[in-house]
Amino acid sequence: MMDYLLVSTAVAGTVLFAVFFLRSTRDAYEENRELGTSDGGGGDFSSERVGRAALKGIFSSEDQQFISEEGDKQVNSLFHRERRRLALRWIERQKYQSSSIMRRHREASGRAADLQPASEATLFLRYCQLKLLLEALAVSVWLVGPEGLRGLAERADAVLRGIENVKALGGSNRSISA
Amino acid sequence: MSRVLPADARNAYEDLRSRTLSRISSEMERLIYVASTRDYNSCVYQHEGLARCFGAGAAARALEYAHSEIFQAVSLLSLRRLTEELRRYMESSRESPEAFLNAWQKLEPYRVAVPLRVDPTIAELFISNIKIALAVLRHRLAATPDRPGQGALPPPSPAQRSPLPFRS
Repeated sequence: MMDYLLVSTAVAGTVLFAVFFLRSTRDAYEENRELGTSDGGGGDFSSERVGRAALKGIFSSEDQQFISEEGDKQVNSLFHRERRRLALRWIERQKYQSSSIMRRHREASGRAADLQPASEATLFLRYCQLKLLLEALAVSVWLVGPEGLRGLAERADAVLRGIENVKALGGSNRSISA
Repeated sequence: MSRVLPADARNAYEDLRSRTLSRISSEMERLIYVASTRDYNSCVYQHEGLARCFGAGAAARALEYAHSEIFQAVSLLSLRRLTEELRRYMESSRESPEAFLNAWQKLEPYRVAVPLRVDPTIAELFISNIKIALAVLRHRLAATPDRPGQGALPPPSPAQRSPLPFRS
């Protein structure tokens, strides 16, 4: 009986995860198509530093503390709703950005004569790691909100930068700009 | 700063910063001031004084640059600081707090303060933080004891209980 329950829970969890994964991937695609952005947006001021600062703002515990001190239920509820929405959109943008990098990399790799298997494998593994991190982050934000998940978000962001770096090192002569 | 301004625009920017922006006391006021120099229809920035000294193109580039810079700074403020900035701006507006909050929560005029070219995450963070800061100010106003005959403010719209009537 216990085994049956465990297996059922595991299956249900896997199905939920898969549904969430598919839905968020589709949302990310549709959102970015609507925005007409090629890599999740960004203008002249969308530097890495600014992106990191925005990440800190979205996943900030300091803001949560301030709102708690204000002690109003309605404001608190608005804050949590807004932060969750922002965090999920940030995750979607990260997903779209990583997919764009990989798509352009695949296109460039198809024309390249000097593929380096080690670089390609590293890139693929980092991409898988990033996808897993982002999905875990999305589920966590969805369940408990973004507060306290800054570390995980920064890790995902670092892996995305890592993908860009691997791409830059391994494929400098078949440039794929992020 | 990720962009490098041409020399003429750079001079215009330095002039704007030292002669105008430095005299404005809060970041929020600076942001609204610079955003208001942008034409709503063409998104071109205009400033007669700067244009006379440095040319219309350089003045427009300087204003656009300043706008992006200030917008970034305001967007990345903590909620505590942003709420304080907004409170100061509200007080300097000479409107009653009720009128100011109603206008800002209903019409959301702060949306025109978003530069044209900006990271979408930063733009969303700005709008979201302003909404929250406005809700905090409304809550504080409602809780102020020395407001005879005015307890909690009535909701902006009878149809909705949220302090943000038109958007979720």
